[in-house]
Amino acid sequence: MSVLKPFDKMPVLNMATVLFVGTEESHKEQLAEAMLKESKTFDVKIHLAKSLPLPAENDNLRPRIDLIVFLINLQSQLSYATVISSLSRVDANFFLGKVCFLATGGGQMKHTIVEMSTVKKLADSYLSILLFSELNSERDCCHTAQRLLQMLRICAGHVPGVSALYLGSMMRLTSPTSEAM
Amino acid sequence: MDKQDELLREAEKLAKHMSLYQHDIAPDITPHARCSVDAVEELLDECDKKWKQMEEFQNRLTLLGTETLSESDAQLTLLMMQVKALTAECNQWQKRSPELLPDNQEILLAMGKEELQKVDHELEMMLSCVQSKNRKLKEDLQREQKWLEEQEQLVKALTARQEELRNLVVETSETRIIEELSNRIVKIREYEKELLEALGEFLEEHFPPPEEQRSTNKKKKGLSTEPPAQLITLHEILEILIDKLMSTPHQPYLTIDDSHWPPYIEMLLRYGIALRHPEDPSKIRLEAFHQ
Repeated sequence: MSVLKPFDKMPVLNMATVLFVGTEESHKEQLAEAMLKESKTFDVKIHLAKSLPLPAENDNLRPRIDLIVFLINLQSQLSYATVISSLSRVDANFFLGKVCFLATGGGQMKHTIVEMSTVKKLADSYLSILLFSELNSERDCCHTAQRLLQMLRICAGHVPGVSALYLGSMMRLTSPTSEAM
Repeated sequence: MDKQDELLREAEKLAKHMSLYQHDIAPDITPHARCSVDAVEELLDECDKKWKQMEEFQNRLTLLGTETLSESDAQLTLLMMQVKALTAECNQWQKRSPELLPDNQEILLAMGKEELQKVDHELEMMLSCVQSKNRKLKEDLQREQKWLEEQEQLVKALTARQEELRNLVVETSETRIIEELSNRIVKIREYEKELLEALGEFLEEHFPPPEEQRSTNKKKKGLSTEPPAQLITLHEILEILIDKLMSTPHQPYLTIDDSHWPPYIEMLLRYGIALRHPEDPSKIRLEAFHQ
């Protein structure tokens, strides 16, 4: 299975699964820990991957992925390139609200290699939400985790009346990144 | 119906509790006793139905082919898809009729209680939040009031100090001027005294009372005249002239009579110390040296 599809499996009752894709192991672990610490009304399964496609051998054990979070470290060209190459392994239907980009390391301007505007353009062209976070303090981490959990809850269909597509369109309307450039 | 009434009563009680803004927490809602088997079965049936529906949809979804995006035309493709999806979702919402809850008293009661508990929990959180905010505001107010008080005290103290300083300035300046003036007066008096003493000594030494001279002259000349009027010394003449000039500047003239020895008068006139009255030659005055 080389392409990740959003509706290839049946959902599991009261469970939501998030997939983190990125080269920065520490960031993924930090976020995963913070998300698990938060109190929530449903089970959260967190999968970490360096890049896509996911290995085919354990595919039957993997639950349905409700949200893909691409982590981009603005201080590393490799992380950006990995995300770009991974994007082609995602089914287009995922981009209807179930993908989110998370840019880190943008706080220190002098160390950034990947331009912030590049990431904005990327998120824009894939019609996906872009979050910025430093992940350097517990508070920041916790806050990001809370946001991701909220999104995950909607993407997994646990909020009656709100779909991922609806959320994505709304978030993008409130913060049109294209206008900012 | 009595169960629904009970639920309503509880809701009312809770609302009153919260609206009164009491500091104690609303009473816990007793979780509903276990539902009867019938009700549970009804719900399970409902769930099974939904699950079957989902499986059906899932089967249809898997038939969909995969579609990946190339970076260049991703945005356009996605936008088209989004339009389609949003339209579909919109249609679904419009077609959708509200799902009714199973018409079972027990289930309705249980769900109502659950909903109430949720609301209760949220309201409690809000209450504590508002309370903490209130506390914080109170603290802020107290701090601000304290600060204001301090500032007012400061203003008071400063105003008092300013007043004090202002008085001090006025006092010092007045007293200083008076002191200075009196100092100068004392100094000038001293100087005057010195000068007068010096003048007196000088006159005593060089201009003795004219009586002796007169007697000597008389001896020399051998003339005997009427006993003259008591002659006064040059010192006394000068004193009189000075007094006249100083005390009555408009009338500084001294009328010459017998008590003034003519040579002294002549000398005073010759050296410009005294001046004659322009109309009356018998009157002289001191030259106005001070003007």
